[in-house]
Amino acid sequence: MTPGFDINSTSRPAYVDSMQVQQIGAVGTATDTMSPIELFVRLNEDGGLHSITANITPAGLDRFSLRPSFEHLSWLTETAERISACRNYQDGWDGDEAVAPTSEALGAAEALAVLLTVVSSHVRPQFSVDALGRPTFSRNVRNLYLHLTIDSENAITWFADHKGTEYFQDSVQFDGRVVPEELALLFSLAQGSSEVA
Amino acid sequence: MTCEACRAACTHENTKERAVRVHRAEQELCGCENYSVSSFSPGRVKDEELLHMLISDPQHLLDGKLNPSSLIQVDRGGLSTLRDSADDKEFESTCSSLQRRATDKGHVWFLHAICTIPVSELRYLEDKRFVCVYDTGLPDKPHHADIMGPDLKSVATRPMSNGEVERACRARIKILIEKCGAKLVAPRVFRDGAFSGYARA
Repeated sequence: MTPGFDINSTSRPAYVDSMQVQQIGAVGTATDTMSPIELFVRLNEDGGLHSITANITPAGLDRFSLRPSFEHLSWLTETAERISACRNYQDGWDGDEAVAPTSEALGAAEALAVLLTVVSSHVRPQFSVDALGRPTFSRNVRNLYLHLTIDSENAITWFADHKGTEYFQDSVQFDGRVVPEELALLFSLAQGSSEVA
Repeated sequence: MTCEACRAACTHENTKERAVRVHRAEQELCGCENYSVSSFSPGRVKDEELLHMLISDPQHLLDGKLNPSSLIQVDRGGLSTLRDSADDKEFESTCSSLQRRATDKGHVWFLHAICTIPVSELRYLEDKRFVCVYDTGLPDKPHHADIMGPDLKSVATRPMSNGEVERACRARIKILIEKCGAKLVAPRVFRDGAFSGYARA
């Protein structure tokens, strides 16, 4: 008996063909040494979102339709608190066999969370930790299913489905400063269709 | 009827490899379902049964459905469930044990929701095999059952890279979420609220 779905299929993500070379929104901190949370703290001290916009490289951000609002900041606050709480996790934190996330992986999650503030709340993924201790960002709404894991401090993997087309990228380099291009394009597609819907 | 290879695989100490080992213990897809794999269980899990998955972390719910992060064990140690034939005492001791162990690790544990799924829906997808359900009863939890996915690398008709396997595993989790759908029950409703004491106030 064969498994109930075609595991041998390959579907070339549609966006690869339509991809145009362009810069993606990047968070550039005031100094190269500032951590995402340091940035976050400074944003709070500076009065919030205007500081976020000031720290984002503008090129390509039109694709995200950035609409400054305190929603971005409250989401980042909540997510940063969740990530911070995970720093105290020990193996077995779920009462079973779950592994605790590493500090390095949580640091990468903080960096990604800061970058994700520019994504529309309709499709912005939510933070959790899985039983392997991987910080995870996921979303399951109309037109977008996303399962993104932080595999290490500098590598992420995601599986997504946008309007029936699968997108998968494995062990993509993530430096904490820029959303990988394919991921940014996926958000752009999802955000566009979310707004149309 | 028992199969020692299946039983050994189901209790293998390396929990990350358990699903793969169970798959390899029998040639037939989900072949270990043909046996009772635990001496503590009342017997094999039938298609007509219901399984209950305890959701303890609000972050394991997403947009009104299960979060993929709550299901990754389907390819590793197995997704723990309790069969509907488990009495309230067994649910009570399971919640109590999970809460105590999490608390020992400094983590606050609450029963957030219960996902109830018919076994027949889990096992098949369009009349073909999807995931396997084994009667992995334990001394204090005889109605414990594990949901495990067949090892995708070994059932593929062509060699697959690790990335392709990972992609297929994640695609399977997405389908699993769709199958579970919105079958989530609040603790105050499940079994007349018998375990609502474990829910966050």
